[in-house]
Amino acid sequence: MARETMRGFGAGLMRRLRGRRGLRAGALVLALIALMVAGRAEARPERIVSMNLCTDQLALALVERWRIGSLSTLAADPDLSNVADAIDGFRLNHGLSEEILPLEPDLVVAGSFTAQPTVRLLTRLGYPTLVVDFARSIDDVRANVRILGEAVGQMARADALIGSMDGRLAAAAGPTGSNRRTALYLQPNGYTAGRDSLIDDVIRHAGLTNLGAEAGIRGHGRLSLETLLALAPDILITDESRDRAPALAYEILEHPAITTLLGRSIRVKVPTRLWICGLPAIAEAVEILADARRRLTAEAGS
Amino acid sequence: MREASVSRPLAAPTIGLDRAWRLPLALAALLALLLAGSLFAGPVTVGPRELLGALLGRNLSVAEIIVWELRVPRTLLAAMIGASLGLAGAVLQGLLRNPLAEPGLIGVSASAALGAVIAFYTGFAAAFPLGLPLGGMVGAGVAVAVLMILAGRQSSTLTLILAGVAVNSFAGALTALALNLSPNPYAAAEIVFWMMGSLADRSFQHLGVAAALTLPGWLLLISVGRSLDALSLGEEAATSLGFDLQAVRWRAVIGTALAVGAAVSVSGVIGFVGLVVPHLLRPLVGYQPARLLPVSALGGAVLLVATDIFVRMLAPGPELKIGVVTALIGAPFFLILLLRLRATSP
Repeated sequence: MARETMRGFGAGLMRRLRGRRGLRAGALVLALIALMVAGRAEARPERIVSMNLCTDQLALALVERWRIGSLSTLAADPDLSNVADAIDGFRLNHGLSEEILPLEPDLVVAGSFTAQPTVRLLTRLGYPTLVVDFARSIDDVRANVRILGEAVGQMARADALIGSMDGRLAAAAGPTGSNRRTALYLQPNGYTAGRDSLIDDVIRHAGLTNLGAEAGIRGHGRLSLETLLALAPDILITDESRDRAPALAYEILEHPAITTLLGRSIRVKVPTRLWICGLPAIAEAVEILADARRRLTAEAGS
Repeated sequence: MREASVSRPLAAPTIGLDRAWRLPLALAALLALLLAGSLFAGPVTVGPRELLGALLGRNLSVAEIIVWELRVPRTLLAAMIGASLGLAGAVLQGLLRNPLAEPGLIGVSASAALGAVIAFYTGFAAAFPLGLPLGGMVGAGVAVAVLMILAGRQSSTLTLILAGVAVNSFAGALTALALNLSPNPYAAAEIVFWMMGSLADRSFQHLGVAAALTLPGWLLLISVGRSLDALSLGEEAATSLGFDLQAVRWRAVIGTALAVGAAVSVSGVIGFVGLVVPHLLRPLVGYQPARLLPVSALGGAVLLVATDIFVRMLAPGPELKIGVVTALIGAPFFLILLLRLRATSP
């Protein structure tokens, strides 16, 4: 461990030389680094460090555990992570450079919003870094699984994951006609998901019309409680989390107007961990909503 | 009822009964108009016929849910809170014989917010229905008591305002601390609600718990009117007229704590209502505290309901906090008042 740290420090010092103009040594070091990086990229990475909740879970699904050097701390939060009970023994990082550097990673995986100063520093220091974009659709999920699968040399596993997800999605798919059932996603503080969001795609894959998108929201945006009531969704979708410390933000979810509205519609709770990230687990969220749609249709039929 | 018989001569004999009733009736009529208008204000358009149907109907139409579950409780809350703030301002000004006494300016509202924040974020309010307004009441009560000790009875305007500044910033800092200590990631951002106030998405539940404390608070506050009349002649004069000033002070303190504490606990701090309203109305009631109290309550309700309509009529999107608007009206008013005070007392 101590040796590793020293090595990291020495390498960092050498790399810093690179930044000084007029130093001949700089060019030499640069060439050496390029060689090292190229050498690393050819071999399968074996000290993978993930700095983002979503890449944590993708990495665990694609790669043998011994090849993963560290996961982000959020991976341990059972509300947000599907792997909270599978991370025993992993070193957890907060996205700080000083946590990542001593691990001498041969692949750093980060999300596009992850600790950007750290990611910039790691890139500058020549560590192979893969930034996985935020998934805004289920197509993006497929793309992300493939990108990471390729980076870690596990394409077969990536394809298998996508295949099983697609199978579940096909089974959950509903009617494509125009008179679909409607759904609206409601978050604390009255936020909802509209077009160009993963949640919108999940709702559509479940055979439902997303009223957040119909209301003109792009990405995530806020709806007033009155507007929300006037949209009168058949299904009101909220996140399911454990009990949290109180906040005013949740009051809208339990407002008497919402309770009264539910006399006309049904509420479905989706665990946050299923769709906070674009993962193959998204199929389970689609299934939960598709079940609710079938329940509504059955009730209407009887 | 010794007070009543003694204070009778204090009632202004020159003003006829119908003239005395003119102002309260006008304010009540204006309030009724605004209450009706308030039911039309909101992002979803509800026409007059639809509104009438929603008010009478029982068929769970969307308009009915919007009107009954959102607009009616919100309108009643605005009226109730405005009345509490106007009334408390008038009583505090009379009691402390200080034109700048106002729940917001002297830190009573900020302390009420602190009490409510502690009650809410620790889960006490969720465990016990009246926990939230009780938290606000304790906060407000402590602040009034501290101000009485800090500024005393014979204090100058300056002393009171300085004591208020101290209480205000201390309570504000503790509120920020309490919110930052909450493990909930949303809590820290909610300081905006507590500091600037809002009536958005309040419900009958909020109205109910706040009313339970507000109504006894009003009774206590209104009951000190005649004593304030006597007090305007000076403490000795009031005592010689048979008023028990200690009891009057207690009633005013507890009444303010109840009314302001309950108001702030469901709406956050809405400032300046208790300053602007009594000052505008005082000349119209011949500078008599006893007559000022009921019209200040009505005036406060008028001002807050009108402000709340204005807030909802602004462009869509996140609603402007109502306390921002009352501060925009109140702060310049406060400055003018300060200048005028300086001119009269060199």
